[in-house]
Amino acid sequence: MSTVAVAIVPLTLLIALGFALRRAEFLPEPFWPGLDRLNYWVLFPALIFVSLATARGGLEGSGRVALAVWGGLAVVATLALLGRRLLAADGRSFTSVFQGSVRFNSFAAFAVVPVLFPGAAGLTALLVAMTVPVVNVASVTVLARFAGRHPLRWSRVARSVAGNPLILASLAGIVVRSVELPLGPFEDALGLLGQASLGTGLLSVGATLRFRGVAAQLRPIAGSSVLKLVALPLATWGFAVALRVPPEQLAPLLVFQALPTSSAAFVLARAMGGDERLMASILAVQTALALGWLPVAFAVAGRVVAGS
Amino acid sequence: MPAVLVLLLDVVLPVFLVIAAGAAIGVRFGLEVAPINRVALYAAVPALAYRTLAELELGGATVTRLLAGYAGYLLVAAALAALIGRGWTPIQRRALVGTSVLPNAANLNLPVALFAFGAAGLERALVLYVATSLLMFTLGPSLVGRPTTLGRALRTVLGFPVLWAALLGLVVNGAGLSPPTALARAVGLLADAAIPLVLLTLGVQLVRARRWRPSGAAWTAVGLKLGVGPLLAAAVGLVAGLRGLDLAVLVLIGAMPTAVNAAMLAVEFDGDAALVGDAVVAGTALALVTLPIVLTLALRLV
Repeated sequence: MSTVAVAIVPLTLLIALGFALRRAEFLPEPFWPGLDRLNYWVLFPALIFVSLATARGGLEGSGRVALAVWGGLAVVATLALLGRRLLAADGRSFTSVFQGSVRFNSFAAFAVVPVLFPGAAGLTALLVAMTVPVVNVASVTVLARFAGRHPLRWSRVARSVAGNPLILASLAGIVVRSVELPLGPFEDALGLLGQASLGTGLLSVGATLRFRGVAAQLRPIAGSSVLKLVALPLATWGFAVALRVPPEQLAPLLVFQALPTSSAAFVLARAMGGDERLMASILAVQTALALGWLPVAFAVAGRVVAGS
Repeated sequence: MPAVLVLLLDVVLPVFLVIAAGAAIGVRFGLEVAPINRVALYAAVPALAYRTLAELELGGATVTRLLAGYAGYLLVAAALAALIGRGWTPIQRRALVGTSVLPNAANLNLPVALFAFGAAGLERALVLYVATSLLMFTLGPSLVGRPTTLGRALRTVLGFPVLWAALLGLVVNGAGLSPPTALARAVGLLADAAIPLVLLTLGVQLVRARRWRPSGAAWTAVGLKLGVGPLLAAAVGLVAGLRGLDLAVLVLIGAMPTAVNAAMLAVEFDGDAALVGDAVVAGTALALVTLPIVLTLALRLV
């Protein structure tokens, strides 16, 4: 069986299982937000922390990788802002298009990238660590500016970063790795918590998907999907080539940037008065598209790297 | 560093840290335990049982010997508990027998077996876990609760997916089938979630335990389980012909505190819920001290 199938089929099966469990009401409704909280605050930060704190090699030259990632995000964010009136009917809808264009699904990142590129778990954690603060700040700012319910307050933006468990776990992981602090029994304990994250996280992603209302919003959905799945990897590739990111980091980087948007975008849209229905549709369509798109991205990334 | 401390730090403490995380999460997020338990029981633990048994490399003779030793140990432990409980009320006596023969075979035994004995230890621990699950959901209600009908007991056990997953795993293993790698990885992602989820659940359950002032009967149950259990397991295991890792795994399960599910059954089936609940809470807390000692001795058997 090909490496791509080994990466994508489990992702598809678990997302589909989560979708089916939610639709069949197998678990009481309060369960899913509870599982999301558990994953957001405990399980996934544990995975990020352990991946970074115990990463062996593969993180050299991360400054160039960071610049390529942020450069790609800046280009796509600018394109989205410039095409705002074309992509969305109003400010609230635009916030969902924007989040759909720049955010990424970190569960899919860990389920796919290290399988396609063995040994890239540390790099994946680093990419998540580099990207989460930037897309959080950008998303909160755009929601505050365009959704209109909450005026832009820098204290809120700062809180979205300083109180984000993924960012805190990333920083802690990087510090522990830098000073080579032995983790003792905490390594196994956190490793155990982290290993529960992917399976349950992908179930949650499936449970969030809603396809109702997709047909009525084709333009913003198509716009955000093209920006996220095509423009972002392309722009990142441009920066990566200019910055001479080494091939062993370039290919995982390109696949990472071709991941679908995050379920967290839906939560933020609901919390800050964004268009949560459109966000749910974008999330559902991008997730479904990505299952077919990621193998293409992997093949293209392989060719790009082979040709560089 | 003394071996017992090394085992405490490397094997037992990580497990209790995850339980503590579960307790903290229970307090901080007010998580309901039932739905998480449901995902664990209906998806993650069956996936783990299937994966382990499908990939099990133990011979049939080893499994038979292990199960025979385990059955012998449970019978002797039950007889001893029944003897000690003479003169107690019938419901208390059944609770004492129940707490002695329903060990925490999943959420404590599996991770400790894995950390202490590696994959080979986990394989053996899973065989005992499946046997304990069958016991728990057939005789369990009658042991820690009031007697139930055979039909009800059978319906309970047949509705328990870990049994079917285990059977499927055994069929796949026996027939020499190898499912597609992608499918195996999907099962693996769920199976990976099993042990952490059951540990977190245990933590949430412990912190939710109602008032806690164990009675003398509860302390008797704890002493019987944690103190006498491993000695009985070692003696019966030796008589049954178990040696090496097989014997060590039997001693380990003999040293496990009473399963949290026993407390749930006692509540559900009108048993002595206070006695069983106190024995579970006190036994699990004390196991942090007793398990490293038992493991130090058990590792000498390997």
